[in-house]
Amino acid sequence: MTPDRSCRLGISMHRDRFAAAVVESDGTVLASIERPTPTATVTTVLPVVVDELMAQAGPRGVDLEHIQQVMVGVSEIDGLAGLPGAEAGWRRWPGQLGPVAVVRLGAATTSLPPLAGWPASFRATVSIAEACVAGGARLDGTDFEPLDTAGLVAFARKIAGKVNAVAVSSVFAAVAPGHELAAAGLLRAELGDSVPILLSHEMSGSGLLERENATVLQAALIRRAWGAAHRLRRALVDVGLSHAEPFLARNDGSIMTVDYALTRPLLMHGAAAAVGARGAALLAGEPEALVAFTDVDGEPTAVCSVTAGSAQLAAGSTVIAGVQTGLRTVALVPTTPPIGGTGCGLPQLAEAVDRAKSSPRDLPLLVIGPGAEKLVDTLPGPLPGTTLVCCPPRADAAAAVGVAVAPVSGEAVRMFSANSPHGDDIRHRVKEQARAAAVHAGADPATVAVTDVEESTVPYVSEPTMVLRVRAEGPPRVGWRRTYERS
Amino acid sequence: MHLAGGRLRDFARGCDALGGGGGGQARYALPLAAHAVELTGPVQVVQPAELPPDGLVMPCTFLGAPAIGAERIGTCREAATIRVHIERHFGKPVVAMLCNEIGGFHGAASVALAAHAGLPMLDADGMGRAFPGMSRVAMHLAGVTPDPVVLADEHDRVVAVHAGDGWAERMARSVVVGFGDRGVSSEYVMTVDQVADAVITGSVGKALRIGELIGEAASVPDAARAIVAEFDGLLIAEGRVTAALPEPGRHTPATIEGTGADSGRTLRLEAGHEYLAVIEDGEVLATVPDIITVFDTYTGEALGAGELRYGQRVVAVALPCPDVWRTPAGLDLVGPAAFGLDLPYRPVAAS
Repeated sequence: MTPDRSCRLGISMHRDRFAAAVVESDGTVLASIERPTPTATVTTVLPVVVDELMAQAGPRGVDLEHIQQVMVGVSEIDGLAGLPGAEAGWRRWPGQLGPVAVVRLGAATTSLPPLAGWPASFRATVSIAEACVAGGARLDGTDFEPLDTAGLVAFARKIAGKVNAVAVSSVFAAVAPGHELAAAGLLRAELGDSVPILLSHEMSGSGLLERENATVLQAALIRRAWGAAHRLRRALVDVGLSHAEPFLARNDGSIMTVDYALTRPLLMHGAAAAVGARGAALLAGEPEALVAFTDVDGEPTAVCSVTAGSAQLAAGSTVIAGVQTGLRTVALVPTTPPIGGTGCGLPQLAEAVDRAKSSPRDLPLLVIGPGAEKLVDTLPGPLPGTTLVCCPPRADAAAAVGVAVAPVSGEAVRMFSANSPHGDDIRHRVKEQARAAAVHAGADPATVAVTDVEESTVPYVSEPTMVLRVRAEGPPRVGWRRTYERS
Repeated sequence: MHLAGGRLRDFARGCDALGGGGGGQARYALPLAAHAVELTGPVQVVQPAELPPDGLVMPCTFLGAPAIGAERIGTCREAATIRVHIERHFGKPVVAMLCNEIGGFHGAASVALAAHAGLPMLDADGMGRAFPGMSRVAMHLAGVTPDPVVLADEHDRVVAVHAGDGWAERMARSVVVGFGDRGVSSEYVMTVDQVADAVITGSVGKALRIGELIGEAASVPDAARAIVAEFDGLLIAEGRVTAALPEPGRHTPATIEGTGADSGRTLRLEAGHEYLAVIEDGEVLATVPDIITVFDTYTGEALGAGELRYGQRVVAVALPCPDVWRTPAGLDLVGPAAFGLDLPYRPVAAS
């Protein structure tokens, strides 16, 4: 049966509040709510969402069966998972982290062994064993060291039966992931298919340590993510949405299927801000803008900048649970005062607006979040550096709208010699990989397309070397049916 | 004096401040140093007078492309390998390590190298700040020969270059290319006797002190004021970056517009790999080789020349360079003209 209309349900959760919206596949917003919640798990929020949203959307001819996808965004994975450094009272995924084992391919990299910079107690919770074994690549694609298969097998036997997941990283994995793939095969043969093996080349971000840290955090979160995914699916069945495919929002403001997220839970970090900015730009019809986030009292909390409808990501790395990771998140400029300063008011907002910009050009400031209208009402006059300050329609639920309309994305990165005779071939292949990644994450295979190609040179290296980064996007797939409904 | 724990963090902050926008960021080398000290215990910082006069002092530094170093992080045992070769070549023990470049990444990284080599660090360095190039060191001005340049990669491949002044850097660089654009090198090995007139003394203590001042201050502008007061520098201005470099390493000016008490002032900041000059209304306020440092007032970090972005709130200061760079020979090597600027050198005067 194909329903006559195709709608999406978007839910965004930030701390102790959530927003939800029903959006038609053409982008028309049919209903939205924004509420506080004592226990902001998707499972407790969903029944409220369905009751209240359907009461609004029902008169417009929308029924639960019209909802084809449910998209969920969260603000901070460290808070969600109760990682150290997160605010107290912000714990939602019960259960244990890890335990994982960490393998680094690259024996001559011991100036900082795996997890060496981690907070000691956190490290002890997450990992039971780490090893540097020979392997990895050099920039030109040749072996950094020959892969130590015997060492890998010995390590695998040591950890067999004791770990929930293994994180594997290797030197220059973005140039040549071969050793990571070979190591995964060896580990799987020893540990069995039930232990997920996470490979660093699937995490973006250059720099061995940041990529490794991100891979280890992913591995540590897997068990919690599986539990959370199970609860989300069950909750969907309970509210009568068993036919809708669940998606999760990710760091860059796009979405991915729950299946895809199961081995990449870290990508959910910072998603609420990214989809909030996307929703604000869409609702206001301003693809080039600044977005201010507010709390329920109408205080501005942070500002970010939006280009071509998407939030700009920070250039640097993201610290999660006290650990540097290669994950890129929205370049959020907090309105809290500089070191030693006091107060938070209009001058601070104006300064945050200026700091969030990448050029002196005046831009519209879109205010969203639960206190959006309150903030705009209290502004005494125009704000320096802005063309206008406005509250887009449904500003309180902008993040829910943003997640409902977000595309599915995929990325592929490759480093190669600028003198390679196969340059065009490589470019073609990397574009295919980006499209394949997007389809893997749940994009509609028929319409997914390359949206961004970025080619740069690696500075200061003697052999001219290119870094090619390709991004592909497409709308989420439709007509999905759960595996256990087939046959 | 020794380096460990919280003092390492202070030291790294001071190294960043002395980088003058160049030399990479010491904060990225801090984890290496912290781990090395965890393994070997604190690194002692020593004065030349505490060392035997005929003992060897071994400068040591990373060479190569940052993008390679981010993947091939090495073992820091390279320094121990190099030490063995130098002792064998000279037939004498190495008694201390010398940091080549206190400014930025290499200042903090040298703690890791010293720890792994089992050496104390001399309270000195070769530059007193950061400069690109191997020969922009006080040892070169003092006539110390760079030979032999001993280079090692993380797999204990060692090359000794005996090429003489002028060729040493060229040959050493091609060795590093052979290593795959990453290696560790030592050049300008001296005896303790030679050190007195051939290095910039007190650099390690100075970086540590600057870091302490930053850590103690109630705000970033306060820290900047404390630093210029203690080191006879000039507080240039507080402001916001209104035009930033399109690409690091290019000679394009950035603009800082004054805020607060400095409202109405506009500064032009010339930058290459590091900050080269600050100009206001056609008047030169500071140039290389004096150290121009731009602190982000929100994070307290000293911003590298490639990290400047529109909208940043900053406080800019200039610190006097070591005296050796203010001599005619020093200015030939590292004065404004050496960096392609057609500006006179006007020493920074205390504000």
